[in-house]
Amino acid sequence: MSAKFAPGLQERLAANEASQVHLILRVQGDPAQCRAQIEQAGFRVRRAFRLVPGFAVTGPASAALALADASWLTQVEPDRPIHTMK
Amino acid sequence: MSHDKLDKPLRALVASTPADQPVRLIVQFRRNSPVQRPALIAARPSAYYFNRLPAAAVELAIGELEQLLSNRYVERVWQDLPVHTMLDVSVPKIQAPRLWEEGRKGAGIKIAFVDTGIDDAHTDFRGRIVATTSLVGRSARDGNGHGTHVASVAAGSGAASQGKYRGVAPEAQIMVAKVLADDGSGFTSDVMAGVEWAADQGAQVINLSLGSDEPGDGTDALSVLCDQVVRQGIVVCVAAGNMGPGRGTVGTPGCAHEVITVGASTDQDDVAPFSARGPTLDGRTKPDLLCPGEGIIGARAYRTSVGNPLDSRYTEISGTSMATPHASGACALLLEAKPDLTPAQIKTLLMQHTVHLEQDAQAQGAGRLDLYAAYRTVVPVAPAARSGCLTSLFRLGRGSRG
Repeated sequence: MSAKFAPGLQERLAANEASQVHLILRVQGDPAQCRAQIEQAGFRVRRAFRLVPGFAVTGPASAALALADASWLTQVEPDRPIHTMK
Repeated sequence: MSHDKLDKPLRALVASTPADQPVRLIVQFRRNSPVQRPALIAARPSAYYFNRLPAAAVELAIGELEQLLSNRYVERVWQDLPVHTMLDVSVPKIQAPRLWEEGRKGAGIKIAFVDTGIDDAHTDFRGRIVATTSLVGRSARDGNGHGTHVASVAAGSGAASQGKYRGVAPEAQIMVAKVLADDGSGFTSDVMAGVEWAADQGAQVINLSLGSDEPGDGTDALSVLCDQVVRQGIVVCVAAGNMGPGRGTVGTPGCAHEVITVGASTDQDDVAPFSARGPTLDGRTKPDLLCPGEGIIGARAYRTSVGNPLDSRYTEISGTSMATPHASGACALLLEAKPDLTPAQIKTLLMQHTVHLEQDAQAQGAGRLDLYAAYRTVVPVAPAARSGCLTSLFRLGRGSRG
């Protein structure tokens, strides 16, 4: 299991490789090159972040698994639901 | 009539009011005057004599003022103006009104609310919304009501309630990023985009009354972003969450290292049962401190019904969402007083000046915020502030009724 993935995420992706997933990918290196490789892997980039280099993406679970060994990819986590605290 | 003895508003009132109209007055006598209780005042059983100043509070008819002013021992007369309630309970609890008395109301400080948007037509925000954006739709209009309420707790003027429901920093500038849909939910990536927007727009304080229910260790992307923003010089206040009272219930981004994580206290200065408890997944103590978060009355967005509405302008809501903007407003007041304070210094100041509630640190953090105590270490009392003004007269305490 890759330490880049949030706990349990890699297993969940592997269990349903065809599913569409919303993820946050943190990267290092040239953001434009990283984005190109993310899109080439089959993801749609929904947001790009600057202060913490990374992207919010949507795409097949299998694409995330395929990127596991990419040197420019540092962290993979689900784009978790957030709600008000009332 | 010797109008020189009247203060300006009272002069205007006398000129425009019928002689039989009663008016509440504060009458100051000459120091060392042999007559401390002129017959006109002594005849009023309800008159109130202050024991630290030669003065009395009394109600007279406008027509009786002439007789009063002709008394050579009467030095000055003010109208006894109504004093507005300093919001309801929670804002005085953290002692914010004492900073207002010293002119600290957050003027010029930008607080960004990353939330469900805002009712920009609400009277309590008039003229102070300086920037808005929506990451989840076309407009930052608040169709939920949460963001409007949160913004008012930190920065509402209370204008629609004649000052009763005034926020902690009622003159602060307001920035709004709508990142949660009208059902109050959204995604981490939208919140991250909102935080980046707020930083780019020059926010000095960012309020995040939101989070996930999953406990965290501070390494998730949103928490890391919040820490990064803090290191850039922006204070970030985050709700601890409402998954209490179980241990280890602080979610993301409340688990971030550098932010000020805020739990909720009750009116009775207890930890609210719902307030999330530490430790974080990596064993750190959270929340950092508590602020009032139970039964908080704040602005109600148009055509929303979140909480328990009082009327068309205000509603009551509970949660760490409501505690958090108390802290954000407090940070704004401290920044106004001392603009070069770093986020780390502000966090330390707030955590060092709390009321200890005799609870586990994983429930209460450092305790319930005492903003005035924090402020006093930043701005020591100036000797000149202790005398001379009418406000001081009320602080000195009331004497016997005569």
